[in-house]
Amino acid sequence: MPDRNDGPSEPQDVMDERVAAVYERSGEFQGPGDSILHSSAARDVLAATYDEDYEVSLEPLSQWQLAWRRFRKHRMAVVGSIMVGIMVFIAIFGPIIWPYDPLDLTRITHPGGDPPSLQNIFGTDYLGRSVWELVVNGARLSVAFGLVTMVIATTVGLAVGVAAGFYGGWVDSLLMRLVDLMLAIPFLFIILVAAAFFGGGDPLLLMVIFGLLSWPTLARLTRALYLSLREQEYVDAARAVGVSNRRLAFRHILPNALGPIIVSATLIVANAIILEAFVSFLNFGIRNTDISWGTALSASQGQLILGNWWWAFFPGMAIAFMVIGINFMGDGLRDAFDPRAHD
Amino acid sequence: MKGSSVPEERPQDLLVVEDLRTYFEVMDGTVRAVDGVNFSLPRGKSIGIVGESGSGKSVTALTVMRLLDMPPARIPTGSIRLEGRDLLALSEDEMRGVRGGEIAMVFQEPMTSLNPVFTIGYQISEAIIEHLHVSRDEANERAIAALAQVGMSSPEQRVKQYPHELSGGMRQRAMIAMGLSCEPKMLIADEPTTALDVTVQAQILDLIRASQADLGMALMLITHDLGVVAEMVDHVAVMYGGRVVEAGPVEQIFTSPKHPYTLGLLDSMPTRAHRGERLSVIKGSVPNPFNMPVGCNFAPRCPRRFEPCREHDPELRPSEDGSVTEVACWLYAEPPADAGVTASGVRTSDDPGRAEP
Amino acid sequence: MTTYIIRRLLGLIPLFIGVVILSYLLLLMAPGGPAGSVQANPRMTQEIKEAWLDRWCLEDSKDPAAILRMFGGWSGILNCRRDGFDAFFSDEGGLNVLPAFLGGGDNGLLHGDLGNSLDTARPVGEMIMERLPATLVLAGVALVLWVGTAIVLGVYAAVRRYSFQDQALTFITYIMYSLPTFWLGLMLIFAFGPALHLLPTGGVVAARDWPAFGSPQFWTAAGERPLEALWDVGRHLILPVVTLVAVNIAADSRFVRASMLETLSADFVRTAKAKGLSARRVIYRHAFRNAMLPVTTNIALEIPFLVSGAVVVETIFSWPGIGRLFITSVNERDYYVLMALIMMSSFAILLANLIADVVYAIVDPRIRY
Repeated sequence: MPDRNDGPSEPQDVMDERVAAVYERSGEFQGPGDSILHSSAARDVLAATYDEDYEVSLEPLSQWQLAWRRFRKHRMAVVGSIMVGIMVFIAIFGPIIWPYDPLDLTRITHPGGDPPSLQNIFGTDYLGRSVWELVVNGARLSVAFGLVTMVIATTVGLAVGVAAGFYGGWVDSLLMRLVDLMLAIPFLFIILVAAAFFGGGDPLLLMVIFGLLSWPTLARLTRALYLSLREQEYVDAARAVGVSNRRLAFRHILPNALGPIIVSATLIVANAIILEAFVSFLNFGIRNTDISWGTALSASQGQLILGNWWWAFFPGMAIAFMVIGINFMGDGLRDAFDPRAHD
Repeated sequence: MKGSSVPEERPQDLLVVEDLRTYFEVMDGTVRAVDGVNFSLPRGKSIGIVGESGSGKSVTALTVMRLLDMPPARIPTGSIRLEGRDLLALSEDEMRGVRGGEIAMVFQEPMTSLNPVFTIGYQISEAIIEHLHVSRDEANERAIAALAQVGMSSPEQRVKQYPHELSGGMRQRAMIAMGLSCEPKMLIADEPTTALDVTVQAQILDLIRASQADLGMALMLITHDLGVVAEMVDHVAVMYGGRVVEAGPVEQIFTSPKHPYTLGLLDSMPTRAHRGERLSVIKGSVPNPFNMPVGCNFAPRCPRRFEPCREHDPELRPSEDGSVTEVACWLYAEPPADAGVTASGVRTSDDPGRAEP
Repeated sequence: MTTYIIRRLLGLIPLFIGVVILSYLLLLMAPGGPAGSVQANPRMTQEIKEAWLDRWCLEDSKDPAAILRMFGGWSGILNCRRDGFDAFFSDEGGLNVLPAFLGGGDNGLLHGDLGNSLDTARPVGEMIMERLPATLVLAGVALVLWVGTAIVLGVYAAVRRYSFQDQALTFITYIMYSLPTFWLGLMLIFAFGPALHLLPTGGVVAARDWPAFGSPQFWTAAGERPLEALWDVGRHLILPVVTLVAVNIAADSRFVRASMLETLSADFVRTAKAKGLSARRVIYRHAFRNAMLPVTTNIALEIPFLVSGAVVVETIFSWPGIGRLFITSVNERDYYVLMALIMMSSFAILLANLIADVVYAIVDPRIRY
């Protein structure tokens, strides 16, 4: 019988005392080893196999498969994906199906262009060129802007974020100071200056500039994720087995952090597209001889005051359409990776 | 201690739960979290609801308090009578009076159960003002008294402190003080000690027991820990798959458990007698809530199942050998005639599962 | 609390120094360097150019020492007219960094001299002060509208979760959130201007009725007819403010909603309900305060976008604020104005972040320094 004066030293002891107390109260206490439960007959009865085919079996799904399933079920995500798909299709094949000839001035009938009609669904600009062709041809550069900027920003942002969040120490302090500095200056200010002074109208150069200025937020997010994830137990477990730091950071932790990072990356795409449009609208961006949704908008402002709205409306609608699609997708992705945040 | 399908209500019963069901409608289907629970709790007495996670014990408590969000949850049948009044028939305003005023509840996680931006004095006073309608100053005095009652040192200082300034055990004491401050008739404690250290556990349990005695309060203790149950309660209800499978006085349950699940639970407790041996486990796992087995819920894991178990749901009733314990198991009751076999194993037809012509 | 504030302020200093250095780098990267940008300026006469080059000690040199001296002169740390170690001392004899009345110098940033515009030759500080009121009015009204509306909408949607209103609001905010701000502005201009003729679409005040906004003449005129001035400015404010905050309101109301929902499912809210408190008390006392904590941080982090947004809006609506000044300066390569604007807005942003942190620390008792 456990000695009460020793005080509880392990959970077993505490349990023993309580059970012993119950047995005492019932008057049937027999001492350890004699209880009805511990007789070999009782144990034989309990030691039976269970029926395997009775159980409902659930095949285990990997995290990615689960996420994909949830994404598919999400109505908005599916709609968004379709919208984005349409735009990407137009971006790739549009210029082939509806080529744009800036010198084709045969369609002009009014000064200021025609409103939407059956021949020109989106109307014509002030020189008689079809706005539909403008939009469809501009898709290529605009969409490309989104994607390339995202790739560059994500690469740099991930690298910085992982280094800071995983390794910590002075690397963290230094990198975060840099991030703080970049975030202290208003984003648009720095983009406009960089685009105007160093962009030179070259789309590719501008994409690089955008990418190199868009990474700080993603870096901060990655770092925050890593700071919390590296405290998880599986990290200790992997370390104990001798997994190297680099492998740990990329093979083990990164898959878990990918959810919010992917969502953030989609937002970068959306922002880059809008940004390109504004910068080109101000004539600081892509040179006028190339077409993007932004350049399509740039000369349209003057016409607006005169009441010729279609030239400004449709390219902007195209941007909105694409961005709405991206945001819907992003929402679906967010829910797919973290169903607890589900509405 | 009655738990049969139509419990008679005796005058000393404080709470009578009858055929209570709580279902959750979610995207993938309906979860029958509580599927026909019956028990009664006399004034001043205590009952322990025991089971694994997923057995429906917490949902039962939340249903009694009507703290569940009703769109996903619904209560298709059942009644919860507190001193004769059916709580399920009360309006929300009336129910609010019951919550905290007549039935108090203490939760499992003291770390997160208190609002971090208010002092504990404020949070306790809030409850007092709501139910006892006293002034702010008097509520504060009572809050200090409540804290003293639960054994907190220097309660006048504690009242002004924030939850994050207290340890887990102290926070749980504060929660209990909050619950007791309005002198309720009954306390529901949902795993009150699971998140605490072992030494603190004992203190909190002692506190609950002492408070119960002081106030003549009834106690509904929910736990998976059989050791806690052994020490704290008069009666036990063992839950599995949303139902009570065995119920009776605590001594009976521990010395002559009847239901195979209860046997398994007791046998899996680590005890000194078996130091060095493997712990025994109940094979298998809790059934998929969307796809409960036909027949007895426990049958897939039961080492003593036989034909009627897979087709017919046993009801909770006194076992045939005349003991006080009630059990829901075909081993202790006569299976329906068309089950093909009697409890003693005699087949009534050559083809098990087919009704007699 | 005061120590916390002081510590944070001190922490901002290296950041601000970084911004100053970055800004100067911009000037250095101009074609021809600091000297070149002056010499190439077609609007200045030769005498002005030479006076300028002399005052700021600008020379066409890539020598690090020369660059440091120019930087020192511009920032006010050094007296660039002197050589070597003497450069640290002003003409009066004291350390150059000190204020003028203490014997220091009178040049550069530290002494309030932001330089002159390459475009108009006017002092940069004067030009900025002229434009600042317009932007402050715009941003101030926008901020209030933004925070207020976002919180109201977000809480409303959270409390009425799954209802028709919530879903309608969700749909609308999703669309709004995705619209490019400048395009929204253009469309609003069209809708309320040429199409409906409801609201003015440019400027702060009707040009034919009032002197230029921000000029001394305007303030005198406004003093004489305050209500009319207010009305006119108000009418002109509507479209720009709505454009500026529409996207932010949409985004933040979703964030507020999410934060409220998360808080409403917290354990302590369950405890509050279990105590028998009314739904109103549970939502607005217990949940709301906790839910607003992350919202505060989020809004503080988004204030830079108010600045960026001001640039967009001021361009579209011809609003004579510092955003428009920025665009003009980029076009004209007016480096000194650009540098001043960058530094000023960065400082404002850092300050806003600090204020948000302090507010957070006040509201959340868990944070105590």
